[in-house]
Amino acid sequence: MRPGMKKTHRLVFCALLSTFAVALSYVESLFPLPLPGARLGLGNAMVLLTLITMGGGAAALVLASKVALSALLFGTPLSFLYSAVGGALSLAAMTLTGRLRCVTPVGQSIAGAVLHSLGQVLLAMLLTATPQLLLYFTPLCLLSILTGGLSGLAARLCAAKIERFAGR
Amino acid sequence: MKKGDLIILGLALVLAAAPLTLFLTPAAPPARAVVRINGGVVRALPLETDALISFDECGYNRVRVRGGAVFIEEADCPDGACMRMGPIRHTGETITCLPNRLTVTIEGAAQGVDAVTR
Repeated sequence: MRPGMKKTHRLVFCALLSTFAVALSYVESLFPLPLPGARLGLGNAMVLLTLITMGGGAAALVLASKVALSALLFGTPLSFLYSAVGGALSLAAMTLTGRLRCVTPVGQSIAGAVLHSLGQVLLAMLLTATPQLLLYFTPLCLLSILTGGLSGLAARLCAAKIERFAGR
Repeated sequence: MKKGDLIILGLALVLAAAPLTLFLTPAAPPARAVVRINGGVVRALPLETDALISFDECGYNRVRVRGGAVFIEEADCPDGACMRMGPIRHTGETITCLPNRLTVTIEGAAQGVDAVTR
């Protein structure tokens, strides 16, 4: 592969993963969960997949495109703020836990999902000045352990298949 | 699943339980439903008197107090989540309508608390 090719290859791969992330963010909105604000985390699974196969920089790019495009296409300024805060905390958690040797993508994803929920609840507490909203974190966190674990499993299975195309 | 995953799982469960120890403690009487819009208290409704009040500062929400419980009867928010959250009656419970930046929280009185964590 010529040197310039590798850069293009990575760019195209990032773009593809961003597209999947935005599409899946929309698809998961068709599956409402019993708790308001809870998501399946399929879009986040794509961010994790990028993190595993292409590293933190690419994952930050995919996250930024996912958050910005989803907000422009299906969101509101308020939903943009919530997903930006949640997404940034979640990526930070997944990156840090990913450095530990004894953690698999499932654990990474659970950490990310829990931090995502925590970020959203804290932001809601801040915007509404209602500290009691922290109580809502309990059910949201329990559900996000489940959805985070599942989307982490999905990301791990995908990563095994596509790692050799990532051009890392 | 490796050891690190299980540690993360354990920490997450502890984190999930943490808010319960902070808020579900008995408080002084009487119970009121405190309505906040944009973070500021706009109304405190005593739970023992039935009432029906509309708010339209940041969007329309109709709040009803009936039989010691409070719920949102009608709202113009796009998701309608606030209507699905109620009714609430215990101290610390909250109904949230994020699109209209409105929250209803039960404050005061300890009656009806199921358990206390110390």
